[in-house]
Amino acid sequence: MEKEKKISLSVHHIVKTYPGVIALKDISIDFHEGEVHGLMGENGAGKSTLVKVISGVIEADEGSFCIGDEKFEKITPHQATEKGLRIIHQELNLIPTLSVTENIFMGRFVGNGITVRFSEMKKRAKKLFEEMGININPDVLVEDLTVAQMQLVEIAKSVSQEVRVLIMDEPTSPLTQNEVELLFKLIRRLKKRGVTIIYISHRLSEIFEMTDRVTVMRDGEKIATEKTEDLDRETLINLMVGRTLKETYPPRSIVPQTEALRVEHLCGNGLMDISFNLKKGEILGLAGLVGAGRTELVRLIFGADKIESGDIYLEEKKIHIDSPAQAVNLGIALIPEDRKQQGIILELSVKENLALPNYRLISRRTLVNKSLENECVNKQVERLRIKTPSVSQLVKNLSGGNQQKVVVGKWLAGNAGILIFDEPTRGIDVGAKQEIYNLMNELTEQGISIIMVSSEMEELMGMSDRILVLREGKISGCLERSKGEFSQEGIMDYASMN
Amino acid sequence: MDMLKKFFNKFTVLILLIIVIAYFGITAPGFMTIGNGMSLLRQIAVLGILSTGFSMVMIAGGLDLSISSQLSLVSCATAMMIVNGVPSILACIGGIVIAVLISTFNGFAIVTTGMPAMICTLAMQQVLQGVVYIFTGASPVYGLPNSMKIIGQGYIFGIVPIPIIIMIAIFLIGAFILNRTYLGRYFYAVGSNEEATRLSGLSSKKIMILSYVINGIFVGLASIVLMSRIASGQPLAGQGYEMDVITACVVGGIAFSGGKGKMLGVVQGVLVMGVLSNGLGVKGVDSYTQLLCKGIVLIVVVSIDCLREKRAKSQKMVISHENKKMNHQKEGAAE
Repeated sequence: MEKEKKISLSVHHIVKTYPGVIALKDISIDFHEGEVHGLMGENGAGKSTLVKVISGVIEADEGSFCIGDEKFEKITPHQATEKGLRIIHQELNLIPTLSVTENIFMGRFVGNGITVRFSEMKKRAKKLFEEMGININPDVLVEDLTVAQMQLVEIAKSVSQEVRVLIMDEPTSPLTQNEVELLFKLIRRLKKRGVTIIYISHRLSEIFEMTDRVTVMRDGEKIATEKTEDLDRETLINLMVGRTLKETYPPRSIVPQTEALRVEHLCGNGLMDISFNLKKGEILGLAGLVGAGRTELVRLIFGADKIESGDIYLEEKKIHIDSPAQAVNLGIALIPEDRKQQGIILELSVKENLALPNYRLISRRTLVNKSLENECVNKQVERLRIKTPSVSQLVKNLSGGNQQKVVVGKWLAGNAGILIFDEPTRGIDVGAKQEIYNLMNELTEQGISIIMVSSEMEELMGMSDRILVLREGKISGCLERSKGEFSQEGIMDYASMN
Repeated sequence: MDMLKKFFNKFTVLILLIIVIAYFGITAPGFMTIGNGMSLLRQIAVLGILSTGFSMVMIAGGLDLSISSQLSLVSCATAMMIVNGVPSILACIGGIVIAVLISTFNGFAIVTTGMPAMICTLAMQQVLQGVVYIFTGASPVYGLPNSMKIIGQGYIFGIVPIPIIIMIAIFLIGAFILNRTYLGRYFYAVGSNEEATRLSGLSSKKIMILSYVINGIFVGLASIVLMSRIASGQPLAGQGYEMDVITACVVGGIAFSGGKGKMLGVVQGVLVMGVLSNGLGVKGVDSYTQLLCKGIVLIVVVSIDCLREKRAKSQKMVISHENKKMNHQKEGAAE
């Protein structure tokens, strides 16, 4: 029915697997000339992986794709650029210490091959900006621009070259309202020129305003490609989240009563007016999309970033946290997302890892007391049932689940009462996930309170007593298990920007 | 207030230079004479030429600590060639070629293996110093013809030393390369964001190696000026120059992290170093104390540079948060 539409980019049966994970399962999509094609899905649905394959950053295991009439099984970034594929990344690819003009023409300066003709380049940059309706001085250094202006320069750079397919990954997240309007105007102009725009965004309103068609991905699969006009908000959310739960979660038996931690009107690190409480023995889930401020919030509470205003109360007592060391002393511990880099030291033994933050407890007159050390280490190994042939085994030889237990153990040995898990099961196989879920459950039975940041809906709903949803640095909703409020749609609704 | 700050930021080095000159002018009689001025400039000629090449390497994100040994090696090698009957011009060209080869090797080794420039060139410094000792038997090479001394000791119009003319010419060439040529702008690009440069379709490795190649040319020239000034090839002629050069560049605003700095700043940095060591000399401060002073200058200037960078970064973060907040207010208003 859309015979008249020419196809500018198509992917056929793309498969990409990583050890233990299938990132892309048999993806086939056609992108038309002159259309804005939305690409949607939760975090980790495979959008970025697909873009990386098309742009040559990574290679697909199977499948092929066509740019124009040319077929590729793999492509280099340089070739992709030559074929007119441009990507505007979330992390900007500009050179901060050079001028705007130079950045726009980087790699294709105007001149005689030896000396550069700055005046001519500046003239062209000015003309380009005028056409685009951007008001930026081309002489300014990029590092002196705001993030939004940088984004516009990046777009100008892409547009100033022959472009067939323009991929935009969350382009509006750093922009103000006026700049978003400007961007949309630009997109419409490009569309008229026949450029295909692949628009990745979490903002539903933008998807409905700008796109002609939408492809929804979930867990590495293409769920549907639909005309935007045939969709409504609810259908789209359902397409994005609609799946059945796969894991089994241990039943939550305890009913948390007393308060362990209370946060009032916390600001800083991009967060605004965050207030919530955490009860003893509770698992509090933190949900939200990438960039919503989950990790930022956790870092504030842990003292890794500066609190601008607001108060934190620990068991009804007001506390000040300026550094992670203070947080640890107060019994707040962070189990970071990147276990191998930040959580444990791979080249050290189980014993040394467990003892590392606790040497003050196991020392007498500045010397390490061997028997105290063994007692402390063995207690944690038993309590957490860490499976290791001996405590002198190097941590790198343990399974992912057991490594995670070591991270937990080193804080428990120091009598931590509040554990913050940042993506507790990322990169851990299914069996080990189960172990960690059981562990978290047992910990809460022992009176430990847990804040869990997670991008996995099922995990949040399976484990948490309550789920706080963040959106753009604010709390947008709170769902309670006991009131039966948990649903993927509910969380997604709070998390998505309208 | 803001204007004053801006003015101060822009002219920090110049102000520093004026203060240092004024200080010595008042406290050290004999400092403020034309004769001393000329001899000061002649003293900094080698430093100036070296700093020009070095700043390019630094802007492109590299470092070359072996320039001191290169200086010794090339001046000894050139002197030996001349003493052994090679025509002076050919010997000088030969010296420059040696410097270029060494520098190119440094760049190549650093870029292809990915080893830290500091380690690689520090090792190279030892290797080259060893080579100099082996070839000279650790004794100076004397016997240069008088014609060879003109470059380092001669005058134009009877009062302007030739090394100064050479230095000014090199400064101009350096400024031209950095400001006007493709290559110069690529140095900034690579030093500032290598990945972005690569994604712009440029060969970032090639650009980085070229910065070392150009550095080699300038090291070669500096070696000949130095040899000519001391009228011999001294096995330890270059000792300590690498620190002076780094200090001059950093004082002049070349960022250690790469991608930043201007030739005019380097000129000022070189002048500060020259005035400092000449002024202390005129005041009769011994060379040990001079060393101490220069070391302190380097530490102070680098820490100021790093603190400034840190503050700029945190300010930027605040700005982006403010932006977000504004966004929210607008959205709120729209609702």
